[in-house]
Amino acid sequence: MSGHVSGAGPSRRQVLRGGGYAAGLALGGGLLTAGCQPPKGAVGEAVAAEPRPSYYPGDYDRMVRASKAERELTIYSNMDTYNWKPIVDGFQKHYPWVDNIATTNLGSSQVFERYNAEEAANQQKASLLVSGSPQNWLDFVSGRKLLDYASPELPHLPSFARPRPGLYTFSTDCIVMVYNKVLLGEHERPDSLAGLITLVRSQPKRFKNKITTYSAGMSFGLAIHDTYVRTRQRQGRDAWATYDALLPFTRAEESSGPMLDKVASGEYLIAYFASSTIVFPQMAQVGEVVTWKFVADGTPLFLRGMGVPAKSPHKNTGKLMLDYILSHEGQSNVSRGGFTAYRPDVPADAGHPTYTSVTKQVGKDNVMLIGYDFGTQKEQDAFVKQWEGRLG
Amino acid sequence: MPELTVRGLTKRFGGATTGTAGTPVTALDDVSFTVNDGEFFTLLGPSGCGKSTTLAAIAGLEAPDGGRITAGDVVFVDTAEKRFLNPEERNLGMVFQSYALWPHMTVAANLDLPLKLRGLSRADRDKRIDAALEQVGLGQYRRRYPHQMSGGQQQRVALARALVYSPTVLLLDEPLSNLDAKLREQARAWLKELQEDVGITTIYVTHDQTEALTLSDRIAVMRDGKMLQVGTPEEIYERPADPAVADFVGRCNFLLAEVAEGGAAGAEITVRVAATGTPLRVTARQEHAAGDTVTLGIRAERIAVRAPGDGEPGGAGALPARLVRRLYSGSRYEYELDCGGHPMTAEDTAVVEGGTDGAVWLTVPPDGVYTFAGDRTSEVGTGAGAPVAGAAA
Amino acid sequence: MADVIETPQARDDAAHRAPLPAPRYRRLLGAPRERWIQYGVFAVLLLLVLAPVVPTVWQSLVSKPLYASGGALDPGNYARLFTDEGFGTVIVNSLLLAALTTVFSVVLAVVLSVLLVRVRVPGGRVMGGLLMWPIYISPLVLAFGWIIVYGPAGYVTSAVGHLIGAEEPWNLYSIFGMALTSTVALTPIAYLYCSNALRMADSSLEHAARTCGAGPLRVIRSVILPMMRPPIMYSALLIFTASLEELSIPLLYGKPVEIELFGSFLYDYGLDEATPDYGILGAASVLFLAFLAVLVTIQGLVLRNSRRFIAVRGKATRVHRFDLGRLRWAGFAIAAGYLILGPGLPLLGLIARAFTQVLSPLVSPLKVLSLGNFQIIFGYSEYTGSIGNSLIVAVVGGVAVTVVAALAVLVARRSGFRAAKAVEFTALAPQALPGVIMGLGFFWTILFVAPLRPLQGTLTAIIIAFGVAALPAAFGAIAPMVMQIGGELDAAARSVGADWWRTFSRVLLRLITPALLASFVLVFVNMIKAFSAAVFLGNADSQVIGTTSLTLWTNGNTGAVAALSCLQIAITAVVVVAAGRLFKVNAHA
Repeated sequence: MSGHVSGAGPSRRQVLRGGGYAAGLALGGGLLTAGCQPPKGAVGEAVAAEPRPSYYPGDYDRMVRASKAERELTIYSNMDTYNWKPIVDGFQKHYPWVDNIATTNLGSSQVFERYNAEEAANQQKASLLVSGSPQNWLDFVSGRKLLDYASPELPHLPSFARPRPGLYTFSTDCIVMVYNKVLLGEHERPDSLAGLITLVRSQPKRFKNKITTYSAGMSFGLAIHDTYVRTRQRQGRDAWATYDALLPFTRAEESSGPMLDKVASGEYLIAYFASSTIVFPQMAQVGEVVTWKFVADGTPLFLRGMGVPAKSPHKNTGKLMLDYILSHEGQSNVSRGGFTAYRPDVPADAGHPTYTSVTKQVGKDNVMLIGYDFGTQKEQDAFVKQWEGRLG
Repeated sequence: MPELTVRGLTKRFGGATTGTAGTPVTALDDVSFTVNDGEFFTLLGPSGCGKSTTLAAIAGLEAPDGGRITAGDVVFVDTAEKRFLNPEERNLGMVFQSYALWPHMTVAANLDLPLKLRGLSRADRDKRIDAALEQVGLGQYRRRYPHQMSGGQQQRVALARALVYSPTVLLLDEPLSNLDAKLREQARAWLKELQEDVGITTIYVTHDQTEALTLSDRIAVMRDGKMLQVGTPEEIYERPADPAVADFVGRCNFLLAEVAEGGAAGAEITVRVAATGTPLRVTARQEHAAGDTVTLGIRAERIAVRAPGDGEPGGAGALPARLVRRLYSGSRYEYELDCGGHPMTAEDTAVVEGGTDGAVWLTVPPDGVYTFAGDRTSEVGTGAGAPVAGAAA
Repeated sequence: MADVIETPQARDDAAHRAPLPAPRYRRLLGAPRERWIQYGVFAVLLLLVLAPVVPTVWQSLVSKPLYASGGALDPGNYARLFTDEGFGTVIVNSLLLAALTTVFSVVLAVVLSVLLVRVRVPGGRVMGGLLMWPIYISPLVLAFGWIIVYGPAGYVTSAVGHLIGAEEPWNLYSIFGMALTSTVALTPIAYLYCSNALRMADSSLEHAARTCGAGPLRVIRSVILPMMRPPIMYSALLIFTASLEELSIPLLYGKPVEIELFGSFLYDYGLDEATPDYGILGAASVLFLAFLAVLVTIQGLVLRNSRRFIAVRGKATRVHRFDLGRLRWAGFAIAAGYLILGPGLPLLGLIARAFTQVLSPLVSPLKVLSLGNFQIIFGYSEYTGSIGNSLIVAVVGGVAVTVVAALAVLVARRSGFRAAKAVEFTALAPQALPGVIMGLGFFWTILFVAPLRPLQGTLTAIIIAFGVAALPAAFGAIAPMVMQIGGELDAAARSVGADWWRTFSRVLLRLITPALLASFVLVFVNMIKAFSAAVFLGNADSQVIGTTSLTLWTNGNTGAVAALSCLQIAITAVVVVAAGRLFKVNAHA
């Protein structure tokens, strides 16, 4: 094992930098097994920075110069190290002097709680927040805690790239269905919620407690389910009917990790609304027993938000990272990190769908952006209560 | 070497002072005495009498609630002035009942620590250790560990450790009680010799009266936290100031009597023994008037047991009694007697058989009886005192 | 030699008898240094214990998060807590789990300790050693292993299901299932105390009973079991408190079936909510603290005497083992059965999971054999870093906690310090501090005490939080040994001129070295598997094995979690075995 890690030093990095792109499909898992070098290794060998796109403002260099004095960047995110790796590596290729990048992995709400507590004590550490907790983002924006930065990339992105001033979209992660393919035959893997309802109703005993989804009791799950219901209601359809049918058979999980693991072990047969950010990278591992599909009649896309806090200690580096993530190369690396890129000019492939490719596949009506339109706290509480009341 | 003075020493256990439940127990009640330079001074008393607490207070291991202890012009403790010297600042040598040798150190290392603490050079330390070990006759045991030695040897190491830095006062807390009987006798002689040789002021704590009597220059007898009498061994034994002293040191029988014919101290007087109703002539130790109640203390070994057939003893020189049992104890016989319903003990070398009903006469010389004014029987243990041979508990 | 001449010899002799002055010790402000040390130890202990408690209590009384300005004093948090319909269920569930776990563990421990220590059971000694192993494994990992084997799709579950033709022969995701798992995690504690009491028991009592005509079973029932009452009482309370604050098992088992327990309740309110209700979190923590404080006080009262510290390692006297004839195979079956079903199979499952891409009864493990999980761990400096961090935390913490605990024991049990009782109480108080509260409390304290701010997110902060949690265990490991050393050894040192501190450093220290080593191992084991406090205190650079496991777990890298756990167990095993060797060397010295 250790030979595998250290013995193939430079060439492995080569694979990661260059050939890695070609690896394409298997990348999620390939990353896990092949990406073994810490990102800091790249600093010494100065890779020529790619020429900046022409549409960047002339005074952009001032920010770049200022970042040389900062040299470090702390990101609070709800992602894991291996998700960040391609992005951090790519960023450091352009800005090698930022040799100290820490991506603290926290819960989606904890990102904000940690920042708020530190800000109250005037001990800000983070210069970029990335998290998928819409309610927290709204509070953060209304608390004027976000730097109102206008990225030069904005004109090249869809409208939902900046839902609020200073708040940017990191990725549009698709929410998918996952199946245990050993226990379920080809025809038993419905590609829609409607199909799932039919299947479950046909064999209620078999599916009792054998399907899973995100719990509405936590913010990420609430966002998914609430968006589904709102979108369907906007379209004049009764979304609760879906939950009336499915929830009595459902056990709710807090995270896609255990969901996927339990689908693999056979504890669950199907997970509906599981996060692709966890499912895709794990396919290399669990591919023997697990497979996934888009939800044809309702694929939620989760807008993972990001922003530079107004009082961040390394503002310039934070902005550079934000711009990089929005750039063509950055979005490609976002995709390689296991997320769903939404920049129109980033190509999709089978293992790495993009916003464009998903929309094409399931149709515009069936794509549901999980954004920032929420009811009041009271409405949300009522929703959770209704939702949980339907659980079996 | 200075003299050691203890004044008004008081110590209470329990109650509010230490936070444990229960009513406070007075362990030491106004104890005062002075130990002269070079003297071998013994605190003697039954367990729980406060002798060890006194020693601990001198050593600084217990903080007294009241009183003052000084050695020469060094004040060890003075509760009035709120002065307290920690044990390590008192420069005393102490030998514990369990020896308290540090088990992980060799004999030499045990002796070395006090010298190291006093900052002596390696060479000086070695010289002193050698000298101290020679003194206790253990020169060749330097490298032994305590557990590799016999009890007697350990005890001598403990003594060497207490002497190696030439402390001002030596404190010995029942150092011989863990030895068996034979060894204890040898150690006693050896200890006395060593103490005289070193000439160090020594305070010795024991409940064994034989040790106390043979070793000490002076003895302080304690009971229930109080000092009963301080004196030479002869004074303590021959002229006990208190029935309790007579009771604890040697074997003593106590009888109530009424003075029939009074007299001044030193005069022979006649008393009527309450239990038997018979007269007895005794030497008064203080002035007694006719009609006074007195408590008689009669040493077991001063009583001669006579069979009734041996001729009627002189009028007021004997008490009638009944023989209950005769026990053989090697050098003599112990007699358990009943004197008018009152149990008594006597020691005699002669074999005496009782008459009808085991009737015997007990003859006592007048100067073999202590007289104490009033009824003091409640202050002594019932029946005879502790056996002389000191079969230590 | 010159000694043949008489005069120098005599002079020499005189010199050897010359009185030496007592050693001088410097005083600070008129007080000897021992006073300063003792007050210092007390102050440090108080600070360490109060640091997490004070902000928790404060938070429970204000309406807004501590960091937000304008929070007014408001007891409403408590009112809201009690009107929260879920909270009643949480209390009932938690108490039920704690009670079940305590009963199971204690009964198991009594049966097993009698069997393995006092009865001639084949392989008794080896099984006694194996029994202690779950103590080295974090409950998170154990629960994980149990799911693999006994979960709804577990290996044993499916096998038994096939056999008896039932879809689900049992339900692990229940209070009962949680109790069984925490029983395996906590039985070693009860076994430790019970078996030591049995080993040290005076066998003449048994001989007396046997001469009266009592058979072995009768002796066990009438003489041995009653003697075990103190260790049973002590370990029962320890287990009760430990299972009340248990976090990972409720998190893993309870979430899918919506069984909320105290640990997961705090975790939810503290971490998972979009807008955490710190007021309720504080109020619930304070209630919990109060309840545990009552329990710990009862424990103290019940075991007021020196029985409180039934030696973790006492004198190993030879104990007589009863011969039960053929019945001994029944004993063997009970002990071996427990070892296989309780910790054995789940551990095997864990190891299997570490070496496979996916572990499911649906595919042959041989088909998916892989070192990939370990490659993930070794491929990222963050993950290997977390192992390094855990090692640093456990080693530094083990040393630091042992030092603090040793000083606390000395002050509490071997000094004339006025507040000795308070020192002991303070050192044992963290028993009543759950890891979640510890982490959050320290986090707040560090933020709001300006000079402490540099500690934020550092390993030092984690070491302090884990260390305070491990303090009672260390105290309990050292105290019995110190109590066994006769007080006159101290008195002797004092009388020859050592002050309180030197008495310790020159005499006692060496004598209690085995206890210090035992304490180090115990703290090491505790700290390398701890994690709840680090959830709040760590940042990217200070991840430990526990927090990394949790992150990997939520992101679906279960194989990596298993691999990481295997590494942790291996490291622990090395340390424990090495310490055992040292022990032996020590015992012979």
